[in-house]
Amino acid sequence: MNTTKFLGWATIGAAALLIASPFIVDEVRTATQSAKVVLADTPVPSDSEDPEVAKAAIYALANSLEEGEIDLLVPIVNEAKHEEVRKAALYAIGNVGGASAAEFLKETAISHRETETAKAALYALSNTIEDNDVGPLVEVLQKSDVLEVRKAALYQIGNEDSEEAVATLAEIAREGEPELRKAAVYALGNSDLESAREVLINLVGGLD
Amino acid sequence: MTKYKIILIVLLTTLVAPAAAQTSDADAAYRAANSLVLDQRWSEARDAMRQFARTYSRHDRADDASFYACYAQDQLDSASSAVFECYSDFVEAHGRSNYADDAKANMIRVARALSSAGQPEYMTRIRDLQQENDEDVALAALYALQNLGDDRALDTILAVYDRSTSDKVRSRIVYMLGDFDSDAVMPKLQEIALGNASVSVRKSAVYALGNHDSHNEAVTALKAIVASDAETEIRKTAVRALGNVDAPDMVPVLAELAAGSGDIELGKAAVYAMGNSDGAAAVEALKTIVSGDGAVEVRKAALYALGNSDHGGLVPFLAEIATSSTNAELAKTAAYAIGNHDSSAGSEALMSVVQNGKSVEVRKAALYALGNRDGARAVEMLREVAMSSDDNELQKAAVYAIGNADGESASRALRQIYGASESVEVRKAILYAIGNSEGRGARDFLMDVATTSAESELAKAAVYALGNHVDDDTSVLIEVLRKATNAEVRRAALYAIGNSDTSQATAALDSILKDERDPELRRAAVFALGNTGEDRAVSILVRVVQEDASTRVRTAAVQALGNIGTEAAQEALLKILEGGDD
Repeated sequence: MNTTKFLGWATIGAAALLIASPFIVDEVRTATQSAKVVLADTPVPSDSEDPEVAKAAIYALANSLEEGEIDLLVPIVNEAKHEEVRKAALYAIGNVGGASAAEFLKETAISHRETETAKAALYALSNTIEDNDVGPLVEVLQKSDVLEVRKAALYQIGNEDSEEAVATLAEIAREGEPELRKAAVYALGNSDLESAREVLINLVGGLD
Repeated sequence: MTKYKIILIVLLTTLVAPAAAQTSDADAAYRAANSLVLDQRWSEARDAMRQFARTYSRHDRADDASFYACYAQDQLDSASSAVFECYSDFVEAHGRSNYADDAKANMIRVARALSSAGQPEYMTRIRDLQQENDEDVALAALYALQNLGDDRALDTILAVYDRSTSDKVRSRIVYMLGDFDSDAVMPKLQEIALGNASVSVRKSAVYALGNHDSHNEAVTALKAIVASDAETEIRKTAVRALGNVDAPDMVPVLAELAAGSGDIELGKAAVYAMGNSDGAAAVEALKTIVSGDGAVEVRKAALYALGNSDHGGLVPFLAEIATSSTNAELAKTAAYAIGNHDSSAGSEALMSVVQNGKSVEVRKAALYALGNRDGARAVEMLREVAMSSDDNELQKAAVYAIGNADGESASRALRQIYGASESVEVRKAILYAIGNSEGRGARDFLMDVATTSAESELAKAAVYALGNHVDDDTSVLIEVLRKATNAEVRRAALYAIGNSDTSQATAALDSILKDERDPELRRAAVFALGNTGEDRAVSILVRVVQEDASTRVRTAAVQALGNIGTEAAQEALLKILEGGDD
């Protein structure tokens, strides 16, 4: 099956899902199963000329996937021609969720050669986080070589209301690498926790 | 390939290749270099980025390339002094780049590593940067607290203000206070504005109060600052802030300040603040100030404010001041103020001032105001004055005013006046005005006067006007030189050629120095060459020093070399002094 056929089927699948969902749950299930069968045999739309359709197809596909089922989406991240399609695939993986999704997103955020794609992986990774566990984000912060990705990781950590997040940010703001300190401060400013405010007040204390 | 061939190729590439192709080449080169960065091929990336920064030093991404050249080197050998120096050079050359902060931060990191490796001197070099970094972090924390915007954050910020001795920190805090929506802020800002801080911090406090103009407390505080004995600068800032308050009771406050403050600067600030409001009350108050007996400067400010007002029906009031005021300054200002009212009533009023103004100065002001208006009607009015007035000053003012107007009707009017006028002064003014206009017709007219006028004053004026008109195209002046028979006119043409900055001018002067028999003209050509200030004139002047038959011309050539004053000219003079000119 070529890409055009893939996109056609995927769009039909998406439309079927949209149309059927308000009416009959059983039919949704049937349509979902059909779409999965079709999509499972489909090559990656890396040569797609219409990224909007490809993105719609990716989201349609993601809706049909169970937690952890990311095998169909991973090749798109690696091979799609358009950055926005790759990003859509990453966000879709984040929405699918599960341990394998989180692991893939973390590795992509750490090592993808394109900064924007790596950042998209990071944002998608944030979606998979449960119980404010910032461990994967901290790992990206520590292992990425790209300053922008590391700053983005700090901002995402700041969005998690956990004491661990505040402690991580506080340490970097106080004595972290010079290029990261201000980003850590901004991230602290996004936190709703009292401890974050205390850190900010202490940091301001350095002014005279 | 020789050095010269390489230079030639680079020059040809720079000058001849189309700009679009350059941009396209540069963009492709940057993409290729960036791809190497993305692929983490650091050695190649460093070289490619350096090459880009050298080749396209004026490109938008030249600073990006310089930074990434350092960054790539950093990836290859992060604890090296070469990396530190690379970032240091980058910060010095591109201090305003978006990458400057990153480069500074990297310098701190590299310096720490170098220090740990036994080179503590690098920590000394980054002490200022580190302090800057610490202060930036603390200020960022301050902004983060400001965004929280609650009373505790405010308390912290105010405490930092009280503790700080740094103007930079205090100014930032004052700006932040402008965004706090808390009753506690207003008295603090008033206290700062009237306290012991520097004038810039105190002005910032007044601006911040102005940001709270919907709060009665802020307005009260601003009024208190105006009424205080603070420096005029602070009080003026408060007056301006009050002018931005959208409240009807501001006009009487400002009017009282304008009329009775006793401080002209403050009075003017109050007037301009009133001018910001186009309400009827403000307009009436401004008219009262103009008609009052206050300081002339304040009354003039009120006239300017009325001139800028969109309020209808002001022209008769301004015309009355322009024609009847015994104070020439006020009358002139009123005329200019009418000029800002772009209506037929405004034009008629200005014409009336031209006819009935009490002094020539006022009438001239009305003419200039007319000249600033668009349209054939204004030109026609000015032409009438120039043709009918028996006052040379007024005629010239009318000519200059027409010269300000663009278009064929203006050029036609100037030529008509030239034909009708018997005054050399007026006709010279016309020639200069034509010289400032554009078009082939102007050039032909001036050329004709320069080469055929029996009045050498007029012919010379036409040459100077031509020099102005043709800018650096000296071919017309060279033509004047060929056609003119009057030596004074030819000399004027030579000076005009000398004032243009072209190799064509230098060549023309060179040719005259070779062929002209009249030593005075050759001397004029020598001075004209000296005026070019160009190195290409040096060898010609040296030849004149060596070969010209006239001592006066040769002496002039030496003086001209002195006028040029470049290294080449100095060298030539030294050789002449050493007897090396032969």
